[in-house]
Amino acid sequence: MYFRYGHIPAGEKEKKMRILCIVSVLVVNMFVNSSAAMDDPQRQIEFALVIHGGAGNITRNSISPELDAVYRKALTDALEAGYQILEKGGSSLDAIETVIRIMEDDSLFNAGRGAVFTAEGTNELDAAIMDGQTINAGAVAGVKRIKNPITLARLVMENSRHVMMAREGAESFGEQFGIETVPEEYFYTERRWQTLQRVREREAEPDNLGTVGAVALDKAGNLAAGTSTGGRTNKRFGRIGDVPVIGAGTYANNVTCAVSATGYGEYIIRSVVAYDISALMEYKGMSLHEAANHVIMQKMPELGGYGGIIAIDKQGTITMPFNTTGMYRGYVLDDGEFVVKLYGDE
Amino acid sequence: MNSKVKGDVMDESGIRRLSLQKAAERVVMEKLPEPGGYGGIIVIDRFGNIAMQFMTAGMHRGYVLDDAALPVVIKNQK
Repeated sequence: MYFRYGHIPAGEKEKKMRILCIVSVLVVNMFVNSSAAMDDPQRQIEFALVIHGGAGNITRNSISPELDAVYRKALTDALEAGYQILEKGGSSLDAIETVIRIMEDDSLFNAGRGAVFTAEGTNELDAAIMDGQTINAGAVAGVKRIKNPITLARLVMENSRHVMMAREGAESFGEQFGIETVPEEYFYTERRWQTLQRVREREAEPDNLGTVGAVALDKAGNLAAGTSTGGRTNKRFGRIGDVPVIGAGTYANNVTCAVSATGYGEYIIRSVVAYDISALMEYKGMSLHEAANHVIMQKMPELGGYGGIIAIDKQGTITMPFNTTGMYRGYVLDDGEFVVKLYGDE
Repeated sequence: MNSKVKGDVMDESGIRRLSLQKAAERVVMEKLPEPGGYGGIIVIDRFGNIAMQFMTAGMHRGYVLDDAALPVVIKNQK
């Protein structure tokens, strides 16, 4: 298998533990996955897709074997749908939109149907998409009635002169193009409602920072990135996270890479995470792997933030670093082998 | 927004050690117009160097330094 994780020698697996002094004191896995060998560093991967379903306190103790299997199946199903598109020569934009729609429709993930609740007991969704070929981008923030915010983000990108639209205005814009709307109750799920009650009682920080995202390289050599989320449980005052902020949670540029982030949104915005990875490659000549590790394992924890990213470059090199205990994640390359992982030790 | 103007200047001056002025020029005069954008920026670094770069016909701009001179104000011209 020709899977490459940057320039790490085959077989070397590095894992360090570190405690971060942050509100919820997460155990951090300094984790460099290099289990797959670089058989041929020069081989151009024809197409590839990487997805995430959120980072956070995801451990074998916190997830039952049954739920573990359900998550793995959901991630694999999403990857398969994207693989079908890319394999037939479809665009990276089509692939990531399709994959994110599937995850938005699945109540497992904090996006679309499974979005978390705000402090007022509502659901307010954010999403963004970016085309690495044209450097076009579209984003929506705080929408409440859109079934698939990622599709609305794409409408903003392709059918307006703007990049970001919010709330009722964004919804009205989507309705002009016939986007599917749903009553607000559609986003009510018992699991998320109980999470809100728990977080309210403890006034605690939520553990799981769900969000879904996808990045892809297509046969034409174009990169794209997309991210969608319900935000943070118990969020207030019209809080908007990193997801719709281009350069923070989402970025794509054919010159460098495509990135989708998940984690503590405020820190991802302040670190301009996705663009910083791209800039380190462009200006400092770092590899994708070096740049992503530097930002997620060094710069972000130094600021006090936590989370993870998925990224891909033009050669089809992929990386999925995170500084939390786990991240729902997976990838498929042109060889059609689906790989799905949840925890830091796999 | 797409070109991340502010971030670019910071990255370029910090990493490649371009002068603030060179970094501002490269971003505003070369990268920003590439996808069709236009505009200007004001920027200052931690040494107090300043740059006011724009690629439009003009920009209302001004600055004051610690030299006790009066503020410099330029109204919408090159």
